Amino acid sequence: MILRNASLDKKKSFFQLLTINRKWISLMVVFVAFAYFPLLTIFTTLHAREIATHYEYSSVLLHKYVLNSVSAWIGFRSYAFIISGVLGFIIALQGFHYLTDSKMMDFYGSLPYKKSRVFRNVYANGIFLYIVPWTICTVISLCIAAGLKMANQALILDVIYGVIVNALVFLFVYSVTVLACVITGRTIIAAAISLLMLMVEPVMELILDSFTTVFFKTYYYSGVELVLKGLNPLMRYFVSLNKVRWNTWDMTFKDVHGNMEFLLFPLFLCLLFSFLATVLALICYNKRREESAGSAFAFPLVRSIAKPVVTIAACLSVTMFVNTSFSNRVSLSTTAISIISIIAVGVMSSIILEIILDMNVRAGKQHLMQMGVAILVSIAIYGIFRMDLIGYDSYLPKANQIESFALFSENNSSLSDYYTNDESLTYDMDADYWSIKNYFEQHLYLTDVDDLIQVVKASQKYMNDNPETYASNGYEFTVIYRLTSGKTVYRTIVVDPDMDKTYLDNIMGQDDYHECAYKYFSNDDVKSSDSVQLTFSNGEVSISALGQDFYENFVSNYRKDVVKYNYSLATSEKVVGCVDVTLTRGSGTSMVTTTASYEIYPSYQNTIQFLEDSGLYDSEFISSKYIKSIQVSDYESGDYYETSNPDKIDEIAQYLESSHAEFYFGNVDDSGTLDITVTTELVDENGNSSVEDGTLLIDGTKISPSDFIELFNE
Amino acid sequence: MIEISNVSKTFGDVRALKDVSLKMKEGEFFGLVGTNGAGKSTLLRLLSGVLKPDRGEVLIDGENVYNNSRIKNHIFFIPDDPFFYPNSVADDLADFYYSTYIGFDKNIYKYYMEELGLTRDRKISTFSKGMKRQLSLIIGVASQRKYIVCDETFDGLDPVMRQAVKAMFAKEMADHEMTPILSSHNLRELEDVCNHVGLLHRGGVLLSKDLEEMKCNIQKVQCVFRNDKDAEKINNRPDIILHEKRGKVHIYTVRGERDEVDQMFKGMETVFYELLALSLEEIFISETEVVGYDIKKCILG
Repeated sequence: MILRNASLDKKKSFFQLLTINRKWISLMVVFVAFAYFPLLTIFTTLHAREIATHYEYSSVLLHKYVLNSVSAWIGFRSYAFIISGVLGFIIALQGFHYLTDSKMMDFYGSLPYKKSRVFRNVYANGIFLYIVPWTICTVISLCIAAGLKMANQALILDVIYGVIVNALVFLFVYSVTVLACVITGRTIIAAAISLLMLMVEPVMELILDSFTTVFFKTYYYSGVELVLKGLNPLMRYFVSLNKVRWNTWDMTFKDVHGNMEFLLFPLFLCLLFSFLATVLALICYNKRREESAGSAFAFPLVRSIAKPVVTIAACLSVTMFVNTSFSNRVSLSTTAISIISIIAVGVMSSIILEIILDMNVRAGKQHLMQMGVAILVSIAIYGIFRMDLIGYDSYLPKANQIESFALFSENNSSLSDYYTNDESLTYDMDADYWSIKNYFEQHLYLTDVDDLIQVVKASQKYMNDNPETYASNGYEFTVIYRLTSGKTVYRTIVVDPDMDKTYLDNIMGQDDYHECAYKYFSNDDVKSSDSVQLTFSNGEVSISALGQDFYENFVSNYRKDVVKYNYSLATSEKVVGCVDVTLTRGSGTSMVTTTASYEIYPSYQNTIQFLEDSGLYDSEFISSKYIKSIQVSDYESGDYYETSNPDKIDEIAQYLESSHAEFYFGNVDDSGTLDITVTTELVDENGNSSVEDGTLLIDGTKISPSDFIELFNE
Repeated sequence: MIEISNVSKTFGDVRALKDVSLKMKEGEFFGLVGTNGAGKSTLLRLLSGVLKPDRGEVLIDGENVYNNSRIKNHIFFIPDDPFFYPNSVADDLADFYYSTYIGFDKNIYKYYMEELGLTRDRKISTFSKGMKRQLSLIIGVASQRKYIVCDETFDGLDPVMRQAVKAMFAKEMADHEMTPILSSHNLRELEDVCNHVGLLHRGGVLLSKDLEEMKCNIQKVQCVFRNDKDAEKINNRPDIILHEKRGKVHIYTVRGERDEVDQMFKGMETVFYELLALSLEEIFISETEVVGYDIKKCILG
């Protein structure tokens, strides 16, 4: 009682009173922050140290590994931002819960404060409840890491950035949820509207992107096109974070700062949208009618927007489902089913939403106009995609609008095998050649626009004339138009196999095309490597040789041959095999390997001669000289055949080809249901022999699978 | 001084108040009476600045009350179902209002808590409805505001507590300047404390009058006439509001001052004549029946 009397003697500010009366939510934040930071930091540190010890890392490597583990837990690259976002959501809903309860509205409304002051205090109080325990627990974690000798000065910067990053993500989710609370009158509706506002852009983007994939023949998926171009800060942040999160850092100031720069734009968006949401929330708060507590929405306009948006999303989703269930998406029956589905789902979702919003079963028939508009908009969106009213598939810029272009085929080039695990490259987007599309996007700048236009026109016609067969019969290419306006447009085209080859020869036969179609390692790359390995493989054999000189001589010969490369060559000759060049730097966990592949056509005589001289190639690979037995199994009938007779092997071998051949233009696997396995014996220069199993294909231009079996059994 | 001018308030399709105009003077005890749904709570919320009128204005000491912190600082509002922070005790609530209102008198709070036998460190959630009501009223009185606005004041209080609360109001009004504005759906509860009563019915004001003034202007007479002619003369007078006959006894409610009415009956030959005290409900019955309302059905329960 003495304490209570003392408490009564001390006046408190409204902010303090709010804090006192939000003790349960404060305790929850403290618990979460304490569990995540101090407790789990100890666990993470000890766990990382145990792993490093188990794998016998050197002391330097161990320190780096544990530092990275701690950094990934408490620094700015941690996934703690998800917890911050969830806390922002909960704290906002709890703090502004009074807007949904008429009893609480009487209480807050009768206090001798202006509305804006109540808003400011409740709003700031929510941030205070989060930021104080979060920051304190982060600092405690840092101290624990330092106490365990697993921190350095750069980690301090990392943690400071972490606090800022988490605070901004919290602020964004918090502000949006506060806005949702202000414009609605029930907590559950506020939560739903908050999620809708946070997720509507990525969800609609996903739906529209799926529509593009389903309905447009020339659609080209580019991961960077989707989320990155949207304005949703959380999605952008998540994508950017994944660029830096999984790298092993040196944990220097430069390192930490350099990685942080990737997140600046999404964080700026977080700040910007937080500000806009807060200002809007304050305006709405001042205009809000107190009696709207308990009703679904405080402003009829919000209902008029939210309900159709959800209805449209539901309608479009079901349309997606219908269209992915039917093979012919442009048939009359599919179209009719889609429209009926849109109407049915539109009506149902509209009725259900009305019932939920009004908590009244009889309310289902309300706002029929909104339902009608939502259904019409859904049908219109479906129509735009179904009828291609925006001319997506017929897109072809004028010659003078194209600054440069890239044309490549992902399915018909060894470049898709170009691979590196060098994580440091991810700092530099220009060097991020994880896939062929990025490589060509960065390196292929062709300007012979007239030939391209002819190719695209012919391909569009072929695709339109053969809607059922173009995908299986034609050759798929990707076109990147770099426009004079600065915009980059991606499209997929399928080339008619019978098309006049001149235009594509002009494009693919250019020196520029040859230079950037293959990754040639620089002298510096080669010299800085600890080992350079060339491996020839054709499916049947795989032979390697080590040495920098090998690579230089190989490239010198390959460059002489590759001048012959064009579309005609690629579609008339069959690849005899591939050479993979692998550069290796470092060892153990810091080892970096980079691999590039080069396909070998029969007319590449300089290269073939070099490979023969180097012991990497023999024109008699597919003969009894190397093949000791051939096994054929029919995976459909279960029949199995085998021969190890050299004469028989030679008779059969003339109908076999490299399994690599199927990856290139004009070649398909003609083996039908047959699997052809060969056992080969290779003898090295020291006379040591090794036996390997490999696979080959039937050359369909010479023999059919049934005749091949007959020949085998003769 | 509270001035409510042509105030209207609508909730969706429901019109809660329609062109309501009222005046409440400082220092008087204002009772707001009306049936359920008459608009009492809405009017009190408007008075307290909780709600904004759709039309008209609510002026307190010449200023609009809505979103006006200076004016709201003079008002303490006790709704019919007050909010208490979960897990809070009475002292927490007092602490809250002590910090909120300059002038909150903790001695008054402690005094009445003791007087009414309420435990200060007990969780409010464990209080009965009546105890919560008492606590709210004590806090309201202790806040020392100029206007105490209380909705359904006596709801949940037992008869003893009702008297105790009335005494508390009377004492505080005597000790310092306070204007209680109380609402009730039961006229009898306000009868012995109010000096001004407003009657709300279906969102409109039926009447708003000073109780003394009403009592002075209406008299109740009980008499037995010697001959029927006198009775007839009286019955036909325009100032007779109500007439009831039980056997030979006539009971009249007459508009007019006591002396005038006295004179009127002394001129007649009566076997028995007596002026009776009018209850508040009888005054209301008389006043509202004149304008065509059957007030018995409305507020007398």
